[in-house]
Amino acid sequence: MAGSPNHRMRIARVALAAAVVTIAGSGVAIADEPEGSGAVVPTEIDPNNPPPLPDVDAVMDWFDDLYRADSSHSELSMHIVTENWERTLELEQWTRGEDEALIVIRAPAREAGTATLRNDDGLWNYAPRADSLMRVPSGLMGDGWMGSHFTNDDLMRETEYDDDYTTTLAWDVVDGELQLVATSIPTERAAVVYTQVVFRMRASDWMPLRAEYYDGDELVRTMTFSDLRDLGDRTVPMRMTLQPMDAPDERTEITYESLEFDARVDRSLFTHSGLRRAAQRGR
Amino acid sequence: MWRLALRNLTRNRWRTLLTAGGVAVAVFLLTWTNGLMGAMEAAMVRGATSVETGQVQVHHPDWVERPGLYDHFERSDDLLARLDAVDGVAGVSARIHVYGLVGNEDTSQVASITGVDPAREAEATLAAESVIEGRWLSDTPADLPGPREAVLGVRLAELLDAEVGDSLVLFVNAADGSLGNDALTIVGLARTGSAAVDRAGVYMHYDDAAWASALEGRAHDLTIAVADLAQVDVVADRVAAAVAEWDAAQDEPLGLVVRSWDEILPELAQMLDMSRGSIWLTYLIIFAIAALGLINTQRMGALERRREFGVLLSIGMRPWRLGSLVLAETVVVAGLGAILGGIAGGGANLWYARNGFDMAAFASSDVDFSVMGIAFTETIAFPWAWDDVLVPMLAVLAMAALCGLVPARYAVRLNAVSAVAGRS
Amino acid sequence: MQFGMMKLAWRNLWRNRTRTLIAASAIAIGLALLLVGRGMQADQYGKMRDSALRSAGGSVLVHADGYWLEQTSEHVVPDAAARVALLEGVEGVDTVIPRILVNGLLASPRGAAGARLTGFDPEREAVLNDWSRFIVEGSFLAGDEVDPLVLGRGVVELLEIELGDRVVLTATDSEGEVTRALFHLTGILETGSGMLDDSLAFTSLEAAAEAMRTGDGVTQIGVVGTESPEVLQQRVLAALDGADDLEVLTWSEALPELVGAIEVDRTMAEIYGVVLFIIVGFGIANTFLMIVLERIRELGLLGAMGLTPARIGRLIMAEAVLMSAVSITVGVTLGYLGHLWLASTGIDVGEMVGGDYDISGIAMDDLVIRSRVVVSEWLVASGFVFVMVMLSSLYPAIRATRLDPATAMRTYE
Repeated sequence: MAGSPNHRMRIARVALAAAVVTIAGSGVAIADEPEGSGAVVPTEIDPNNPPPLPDVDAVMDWFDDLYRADSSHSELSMHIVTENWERTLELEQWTRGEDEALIVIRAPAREAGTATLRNDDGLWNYAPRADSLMRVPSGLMGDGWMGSHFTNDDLMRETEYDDDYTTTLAWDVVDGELQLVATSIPTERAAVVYTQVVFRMRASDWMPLRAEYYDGDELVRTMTFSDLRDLGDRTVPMRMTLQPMDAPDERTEITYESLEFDARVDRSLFTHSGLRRAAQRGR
Repeated sequence: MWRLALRNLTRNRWRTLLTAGGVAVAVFLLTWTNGLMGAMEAAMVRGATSVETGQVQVHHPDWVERPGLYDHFERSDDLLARLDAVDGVAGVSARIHVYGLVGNEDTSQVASITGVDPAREAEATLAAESVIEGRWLSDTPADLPGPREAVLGVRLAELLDAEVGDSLVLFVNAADGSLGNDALTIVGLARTGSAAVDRAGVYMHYDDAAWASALEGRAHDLTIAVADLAQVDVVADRVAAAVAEWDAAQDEPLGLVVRSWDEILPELAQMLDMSRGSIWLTYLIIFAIAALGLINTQRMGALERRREFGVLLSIGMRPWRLGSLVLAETVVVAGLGAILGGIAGGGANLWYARNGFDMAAFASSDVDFSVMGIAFTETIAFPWAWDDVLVPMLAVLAMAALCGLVPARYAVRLNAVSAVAGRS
Repeated sequence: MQFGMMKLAWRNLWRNRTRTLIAASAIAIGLALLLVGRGMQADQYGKMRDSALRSAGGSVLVHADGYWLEQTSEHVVPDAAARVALLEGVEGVDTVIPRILVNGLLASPRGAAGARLTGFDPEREAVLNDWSRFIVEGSFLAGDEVDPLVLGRGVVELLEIELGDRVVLTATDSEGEVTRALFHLTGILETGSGMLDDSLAFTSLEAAAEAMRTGDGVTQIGVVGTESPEVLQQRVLAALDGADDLEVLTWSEALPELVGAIEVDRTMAEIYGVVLFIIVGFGIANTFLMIVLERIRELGLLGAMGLTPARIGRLIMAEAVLMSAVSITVGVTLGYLGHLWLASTGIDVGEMVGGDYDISGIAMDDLVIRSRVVVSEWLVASGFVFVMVMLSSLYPAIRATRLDPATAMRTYE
């Protein structure tokens, strides 16, 4: 079992995926990733005779790179199920650098044009009927974004670079399948509510399978990754499902329909006028 | 015997009048204080309830324990009409309540939005009357497209640095999970006296609020104003009956709950109980002093008349007859005083009931004071209740009868011989 | 008046003991009841002011200019330690309490709650508000944890946490940036007031300062002292030498709505007071007038014995003065005894109400009616009674001077 002292963890740029990552933690490298982290990963693993554990830093760097890009443009749908209602949003999203992100709702028609902007000045909501931005105050950071199980706070965490975790790796076998398990524990003063985050990856290619968030011994929520797709320069899970443990019938499911890294994203998009054009553009 | 008592009393007019006068003053003060306290209580209740809760409210059963966005029921014109028709109801308003964020690019504040029918709301609550700048919402919503009308609490407007005529942005947490949004224009500012409304309240037309929060055709509460506060419980029962009848006829009866203000705001009811408790102390003191005066004067009178009593006894009048005669005198005197005081007090209360009592007389400074949100700079009307007059009269009469026992006892135990001789 | 007159008056009073006693008791008891009534009202009024003062955080509050209206963390009182030391030296100041106030969000794995977190030194704060008596679990900032958090039961339930659990505060710090800080739940409070339990959140001054990066500054300095708030305010302003960047408020300026509630209560009490005065005054007048009517014969006798009308008049006044002097003394004594009893035992209204409750935001946790002596009020009441007695004796005195002894003596009754 390899261990690692304090390791700074970066958080990915893609807005919603960033929420995932915050929740998640460490990452995984694919053996045939061109840039490569230099890690050696076995392509076949014998459950009864596991190979030595990879280097934790390598694993985490890999995951950082999984969703990282200078910019991105994606279309995704978000399906939310709560005890009171169920709905599906069609979203379009752009990110630039580590600070800027814009999500616009395209469907349903009633909500189309509503948008959320992240810049270094904070988190803002755009009201299409008033053509105006309004800051999301810190008191509302605990609220779910557009009613989902991702909170405004999850989106905001992009700018926080100081989440310190101590991560250890281990092998685990689940349903006959070998998994690489990264257990991250926040350091002394890290401002994170969870006492532990467990990240499960496929042993063969370090693809993320599941992230588990704990409060002590109790599992509070899980994020499941699925629908791997080869995007050309990388393979990523295109579907993430967030599930709160105290309401098992509820969930929020994000499915990327298209995801383009290093797309051409102009900085003017993240201004009021740019945002307005993007919001009113429609599909 | 009563005629004898009366004749004895007329023999010393001054003493009789003075004693009766004392009793009259006591009865007057008790009656008048009753009226004043009743008026202040009514003002406090009305002030504390007339903006947010009204005097009677109808809710979804789950709302009672913990009010929630999803605890709504059908906003039925039929039910509203039935409640309008209930005897004693002065106004009924169906409302929805949602939380949201209101502001602009520079500033934002958490707000509590209440969607109302402006005409009904004006009848059921004091919201329309508390507009101090601008105006209340118009009966029909503004034309589309265009910003929606909104009336803000004064303090909220202050925090947003906004005035009448300014535009604001609204986001609400809608009942379908979405983030409803709209543009608002401030048509009026309200100072209701209720801190919750003044600091975070926004009134909008029901149609506008319901669309933004995905609650079309639904209501969170029916707020009802009762014309006569003394009748709240009776009217609440009638309302409950009407609601139950309507609910039972629905496909899926919800079990809507009807509550009067003291069930909705137990702290207010508690506070009134407490102040009523302290009034009793004052009453007691008034009683004590009046009783003391009565005993004193009657006893003195008995002392002075001892020779006369002695004569009566020695010519054969039974002691107990003398005693009852003396007692009767006390009762008659007190009765006279009580009637005088009752007339004076009742008259005063009636006058104040018609013309109101100006609280400014008691305002020691120009502090605009309020308790639980009611401003006390207005005139308040005394409630008119026979009880307020009759109870003090009867109580004082009863007390007088007791007091009269003192001189009666003295008379009964008098030694006729020494009394006649003039030795005390 | 001559001494002889006084002696005569005194003997006169004693001659008819019963009558004198009746009149004297009317005065004494009436006055005693008046005084006790005013004592209770003064206590109620004082209690409400005390509660309001404690709710506000001190007689006088010092903030960075503009803080109280906006309540954002950008307004910081710089160089707090020096200011605190300065204020401690001000005459009449008991305690100076620096505090950091944060409006933000407290989050746990399962919940979030908007909160106003207050950081202070528990020993200093205890002088004004001793929150530690409401601790039911854990301790009140007693240990040396670096990130202690004490919450009301309502907040704890909303966050679904237990002692030792992590809580993250999200707020905008003094530089306008969103910041997060970690705390651990170290204490749970139950005050009995639902409203309070749903909102209380406390930490140490150091932890708050670190979380909000205020450096050596604080949000608020509460000043508690023996003088009236207005006097303290003047002295504090003087001591701070007109610092432009600060605002100095009395608690009533800070929380005017509480002032309103207190004043209404006091107005109602004044009404009662007036009613009591009327009834006592009337009672005394009534008694005296009655007495004089009884004495017509006696006065006629005095006239027949040679006393001039003027002298008779003066005699009556002399009796009145003596009687009131003695009765008022007795009345004040009785009133004081009543006050002592109330002050120590009091009338417990709490059972009627069942628990603590708020009047317009003033938490009244002491529901025992006691008594306070306001010397000026007692002097006024006694003076009033004296005047009433003298006035009541004036009429008979004047009547007496016009008496025709012959007719008077023949009045039988």
